[in-house]
Amino acid sequence: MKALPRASLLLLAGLTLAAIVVPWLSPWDYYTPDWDHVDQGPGLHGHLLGTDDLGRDLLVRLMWSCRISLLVAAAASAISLAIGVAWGLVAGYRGGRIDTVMMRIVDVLYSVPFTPFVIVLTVLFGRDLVLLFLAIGAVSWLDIARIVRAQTLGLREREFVIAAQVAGLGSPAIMWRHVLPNLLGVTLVCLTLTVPAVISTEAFLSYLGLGAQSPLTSLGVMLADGAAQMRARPLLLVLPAMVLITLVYACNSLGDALRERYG
Amino acid sequence: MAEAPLLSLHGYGLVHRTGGPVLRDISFDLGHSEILCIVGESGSGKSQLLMSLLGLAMPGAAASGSARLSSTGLAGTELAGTELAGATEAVLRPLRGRQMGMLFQDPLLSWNPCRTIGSQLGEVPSLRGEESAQVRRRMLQALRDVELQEPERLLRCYPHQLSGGMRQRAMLAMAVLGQPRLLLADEPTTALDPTTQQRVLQHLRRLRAQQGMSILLVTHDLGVVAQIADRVLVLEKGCIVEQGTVAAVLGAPSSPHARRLVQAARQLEGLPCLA
Repeated sequence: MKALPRASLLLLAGLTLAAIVVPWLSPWDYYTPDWDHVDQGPGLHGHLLGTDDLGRDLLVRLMWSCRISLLVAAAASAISLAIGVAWGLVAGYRGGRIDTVMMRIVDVLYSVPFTPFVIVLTVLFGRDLVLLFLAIGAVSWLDIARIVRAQTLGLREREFVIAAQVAGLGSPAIMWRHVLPNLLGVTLVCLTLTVPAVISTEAFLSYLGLGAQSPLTSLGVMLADGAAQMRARPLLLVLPAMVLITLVYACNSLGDALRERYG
Repeated sequence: MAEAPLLSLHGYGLVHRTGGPVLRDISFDLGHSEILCIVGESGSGKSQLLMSLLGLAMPGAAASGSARLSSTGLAGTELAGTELAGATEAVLRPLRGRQMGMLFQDPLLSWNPCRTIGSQLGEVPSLRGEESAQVRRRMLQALRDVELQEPERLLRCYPHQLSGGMRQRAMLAMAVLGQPRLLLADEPTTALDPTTQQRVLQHLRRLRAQQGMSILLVTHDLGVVAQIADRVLVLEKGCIVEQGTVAAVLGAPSSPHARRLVQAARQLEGLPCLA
């Protein structure tokens, strides 16, 4: 592996570890205000990065935001991967009319504008983190389904798939045992495109107030809070922005490396 | 009358989805433990004939006429046989692998690159509910039958770790594992070097001798035909233009097309042209 992707992998691993460990180790939590030390600068009174305008520890809140972002990324990616791979596999392998119907459904869903869709969902079901997983997952599987279908169309014509048919294997067995393992590379590549997109989307929705709800925090929530006070306390905006950029950049650069290898 | 031929085609045809005929009026018999070679130019419909017998011709293609696979019962009783032309998946699926095995041209492409030889060899027997110990024993035996060294190690190998000849012999082992009565071979020696070609042909001959397997072999290599075939069938644009014994067809081809094929082959070998 080259130096840059390796650095990205380390960065990502470090950030994930910090997101898990720091809120444990810290004496502070993300919601209890320290009323004696409101709007504190970094390094004072045991708050390593200072506190916000309600006296909540900034470092712990930042790491909690990371947790939420990574959790949403993992859950939404898993959902979209499961639906997308299954959908694309069946459409591509079955072909014919089934393929046409399934892919037209994808086309229709593709044309639904995302933000209004999420707003309608939140109005109907209330603001909930689980809803966020579902909403993002429900949209991002479309790309994966298209890519997997295209790949399956090619694999279906390969001799080893025909050999499996000749040997008397049924379609489900062939899809599961012969086509799916060969989709691993392209699926991995899809995933590296999906994960950073999901992280940005979550931040965007939370920024609009459609995602994580106070006191629970996420990078989008912190950005929105920070933007409100960016003249007085630029650090409140800069810190979450830097974490977000680092996360997305590390994912993208890792994705590039994987794409070069398997794509 | 002697026993009925294993495979009997009568006026068999295949029509492309667009209506263009791929095969027309194909009639021949393939006896028990007989090797019949089908020769012809690229695009003459040789491979499509094999695939359509398995019901795996290109999607939308329709077969007509009759292609009957005899089914001799255990006690030697003659059953009605199975009609392959226009048969449904449900009829054909159980026949694949068990009654009819197939060998492909390119031994690299016919293996799934990301699974071991062992997992692919044992797939069909395991799915049919055979015990894993027995499957393993049969796999090792089949690999030894095609003279592959260290079969235990081979089962753990991935296809790219084997040489072309080994892959093709392992493929042969896979085809034989189902103990089919009819082996369809689509240019099984084309991608191999001459020495390996000889070994594969030897194995085919031995299968015929030991198991009484009938072989329908598609090739464009007349050298292969001369070595192994009992009878030859020449295909041109989906029609049979000539059929007969090897000596008759290769020695004195009567149709202009077969003449051209033999002539070209002799020139490649540096032999004098036919009179």
